[in-house]
Amino acid sequence: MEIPAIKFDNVWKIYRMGAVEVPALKGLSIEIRRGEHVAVMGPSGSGKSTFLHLAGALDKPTKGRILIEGRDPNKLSDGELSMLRNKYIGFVFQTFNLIPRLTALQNVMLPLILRGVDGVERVKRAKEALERVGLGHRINHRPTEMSGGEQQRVAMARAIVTDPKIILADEPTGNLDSASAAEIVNLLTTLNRDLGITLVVVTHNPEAAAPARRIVRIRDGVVYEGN
Amino acid sequence: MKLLDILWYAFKGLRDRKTRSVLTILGIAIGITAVITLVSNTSGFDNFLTEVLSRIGSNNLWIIPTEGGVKFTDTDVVMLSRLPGVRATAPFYFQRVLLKAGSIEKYVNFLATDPRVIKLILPDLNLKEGEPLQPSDVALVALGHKVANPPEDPNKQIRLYSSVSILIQQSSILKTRSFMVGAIYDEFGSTPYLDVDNSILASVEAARSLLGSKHYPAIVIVAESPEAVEPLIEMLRDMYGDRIEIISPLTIVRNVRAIISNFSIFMFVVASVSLVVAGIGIMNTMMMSVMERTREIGILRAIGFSQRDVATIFLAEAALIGVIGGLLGILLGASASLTLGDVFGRMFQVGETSTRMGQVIQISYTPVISLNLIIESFLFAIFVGVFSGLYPAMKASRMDPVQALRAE
Ligand SMILES: Nc1ncnc2c1ncn2[C@@H]1O[C@H](COP(=O)(O)OP(=O)(O)OP(=O)(O)O)[C@@H](O)[C@H]1O
Ligand SMILES: [Mg+2]
Repeated sequence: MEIPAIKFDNVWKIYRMGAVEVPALKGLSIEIRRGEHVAVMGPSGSGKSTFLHLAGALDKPTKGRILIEGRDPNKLSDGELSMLRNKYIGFVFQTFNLIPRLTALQNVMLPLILRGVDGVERVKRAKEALERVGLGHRINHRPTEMSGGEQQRVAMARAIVTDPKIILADEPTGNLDSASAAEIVNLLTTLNRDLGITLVVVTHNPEAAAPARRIVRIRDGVVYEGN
Repeated sequence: MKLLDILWYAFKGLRDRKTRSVLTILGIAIGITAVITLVSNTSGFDNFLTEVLSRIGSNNLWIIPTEGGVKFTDTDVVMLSRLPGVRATAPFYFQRVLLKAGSIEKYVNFLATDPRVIKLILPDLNLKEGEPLQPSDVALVALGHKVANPPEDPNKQIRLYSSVSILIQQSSILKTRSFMVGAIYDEFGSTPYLDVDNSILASVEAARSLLGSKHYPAIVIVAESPEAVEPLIEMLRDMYGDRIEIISPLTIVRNVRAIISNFSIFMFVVASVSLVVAGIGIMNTMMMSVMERTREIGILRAIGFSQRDVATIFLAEAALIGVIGGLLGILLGASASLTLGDVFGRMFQVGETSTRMGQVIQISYTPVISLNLIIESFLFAIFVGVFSGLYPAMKASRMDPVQALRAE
């Protein structure tokens, strides 16, 4: 049997605010196969981001079992989880989340620097990633010197520079005009199609969801459509 | 992550908040400057004191009658020589006189005692020419190196066996006597007490015939060991009470040392306080940095940085503040030490040491900036940085990555 890219089995995530418990996921189950392109939709506060963070090993579930590329985050130490993120996962966020004092190239190199990849190799790979997102000519600009669309492309280059197995995008087009948004959606779709990277895109935008071959709808912390 | 990359990232972080970083770095630099200045000066000064003792002989002490006090005679000299712990005693004359030799005319020190005692007081003083003075040499004197060879004018040398006149003012009468130069000494080097190089040395007999007094202006006592000096001083006090003044290089040096050590305790407190303040400054800067960079911490965690990696980055930043502050402090400290060496020297010269023998202890010392001192203060600066960075780094690493990513 093939190992799924992401598997959630009755997963609960309960946030605690003092004495109050806020359940964000209430027994969510889902299986995403390797190489799939999935769009996750749902109302605000339904638990989409929470799902994505758990799928990216940034957080551990309160209850239930998660498997990411066959690995159970509950059984991993912080160091092992971090390694898992670095190796298998690429995150793309709504607010780009670049490090402002670093140039595009340096931002993209950061995951490789963490791995201890040496200078020549990491520059080469970061440049390749930037070229793949069409930013080969702007590698020495800082985020503040770039448009939103360009920043998001840098973020995508950073996500793919490590050759991840999964890309998790949380409202990647949420802060972009429609032209830039279309480019980003195209790029993501291409990455999935050409490189076989499993792609999960959380979005409110129907156009961003359109290229996905499967749309998963989350409401109130559970999947109610698309499983 | 490789060390060089960690440093690179830390440096970027510091440069991003330039003003704050510079101020924090200055804080630690000032602390290190204080430490270096303090340690180098006290150890330089201590070396100087040790030098003084070894040159002037810690075994020697002089007694001088106070105004209207005792009048020293041979009885005192003999009696004192029988005290326990005393190796030798001798009358001692010390006076400024006018020296004339041909066209040369200048003021020099006239120093007279039992020639056999000279060897004990000044063991390092060597003859260059002539014969050692004898107790019975009434008409001979020995010249210090600079008296015979004035450094300011090589033409004004005074030769062995030439004749010199010594003039003294005695209650409105000018007395003159001629002597023959029987010996010339090698250069002795500067000593704080007895400036031998600028002195004429003579026997007690010669001094008596020149000055005509039956009483001795001072008596020099050579103790058997430095340990014997303190008990001797007590005995002298019992015998003479307040009628004498006792000059002992050992006790003076001890007193000065005590002052210095008090002073350095004070300075040490100041230096420690400034380093504690610097440490708090680093902690504060780093805490602010962690708060402001919450989002960045979230990003780093998403990219795959572990708690340890995040802690390392913030620790490296704090350590880098220590490194830069330490280096700056070493530079500032080295230059401050050298300048302050002069200032302190002058300060203490006024303070401690005008003696009745008309001499002033000239304090001139070189601060000792040892490699050890440099390395230790550098490591200490890094330690202060790392130590102050521990808590902020821990805070940063314990941050929940999801919360951090949601932060504004
Ligand atoms: N740290 C937290 N403490 C308490 N409640 C939280 C916390 N994080 C999220 N929540 C709650 O969990 C629920 C799910 O949040 P989540 O961010 O996953 O929603 P979302 O579907 O991504 O919404 P949006 O479309 O607005 O981004 C919300 O009700 C939210 O208020
Ligand atoms: Mg969300």
